[in-house]
Amino acid sequence: MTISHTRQRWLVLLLLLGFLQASTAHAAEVEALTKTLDQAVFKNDISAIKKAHQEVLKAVEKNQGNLKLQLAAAWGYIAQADLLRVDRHTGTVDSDTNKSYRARQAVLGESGNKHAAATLKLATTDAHKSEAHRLFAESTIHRISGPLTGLTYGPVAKQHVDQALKLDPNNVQAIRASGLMFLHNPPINGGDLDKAVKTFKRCAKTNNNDVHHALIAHAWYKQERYDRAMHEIDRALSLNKNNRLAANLKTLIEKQNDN
Amino acid sequence: MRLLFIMLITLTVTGCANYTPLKEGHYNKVQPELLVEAGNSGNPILADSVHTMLHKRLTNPELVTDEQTIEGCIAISKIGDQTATPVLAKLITSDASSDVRYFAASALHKLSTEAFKAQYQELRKAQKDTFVIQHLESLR
Repeated sequence: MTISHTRQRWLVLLLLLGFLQASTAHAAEVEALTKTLDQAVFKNDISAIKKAHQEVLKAVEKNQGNLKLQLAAAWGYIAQADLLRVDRHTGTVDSDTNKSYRARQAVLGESGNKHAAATLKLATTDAHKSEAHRLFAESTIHRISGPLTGLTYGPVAKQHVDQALKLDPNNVQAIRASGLMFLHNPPINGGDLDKAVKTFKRCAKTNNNDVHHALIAHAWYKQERYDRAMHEIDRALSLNKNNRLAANLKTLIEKQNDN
Repeated sequence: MRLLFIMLITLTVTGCANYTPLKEGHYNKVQPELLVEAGNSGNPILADSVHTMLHKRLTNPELVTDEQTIEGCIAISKIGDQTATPVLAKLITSDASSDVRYFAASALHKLSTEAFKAQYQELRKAQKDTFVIQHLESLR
């Protein structure tokens, strides 16, 4: 049976519309998943992050070639590792918990690396490539658990941060990642608390959010400038009362003042 | 010999840092770190210079940076210069930077809770920034 030209055109149009509708629905689903993850990260709620991240990972399994999903997958691992690091550095975890958190951070970092590597393959624009390198750097930093792993992963992380900034010098997340290296590395490996403060202040100037102010506070705290730290803590908490790093630092400083 | 002796005493009194730019009002040469050292020294001789700098911030704000003013407020409260309370109050009510107003409030409260409480309403009334208002309320 032959189909007339008019009917052929209608069929093609219907197919195209169907495809468009499916794509739009899929894009909306991806948007919803990443939004839920972002909201959980803002709440600094590790259980909520884990739950939202699980949904992202399920979606990634069905669609490995989706850049946004792979970015979110990498980001979800990093966000969980970040909170573990916050509690290790500024919380009241005991020695055993500290060790288990450290080990868990490294595992999350390794998983984050896999998805960051996928984003590197999928990224086509400089902005996306920059983000991919940044995510790779941050997940790699979490794999550093001591001097030996520092020797292995430190240079790798730096290489990816540098590449991220080369591709997009205005990538605030990449600038923040470079600040993390100043904040957490020992001086012999480029750690510099003064530079950390300046880097995070630069981030805050571009994006006045709680994350950047809390990081400035942490850099001041490590220099025992508790007066300056408290100001940034107040800034961070005024923007997000759930910021775990700011809240932990506040508790530490108040304990110092009591003693 | 006498000159050497005077220099030794001066150095001992003011520490090894070079406070000349601060004392002479060449604020473009004053690094914030110098003000931190001044505060840590607890030296009342330096308080006068820091006080003058804060006053300059009020009259010629282009000559004293936000960072210098913030460290100056912290330094003066560490040194414990009670005569600085009026200049701190003025900074809280009129400085353009909310960060400066925040630190001026902390410094005033540290120097004199009585002066802070006495002027609280006036200090609060002058604020438009919620962040500074919250800080004033937390100090009250």
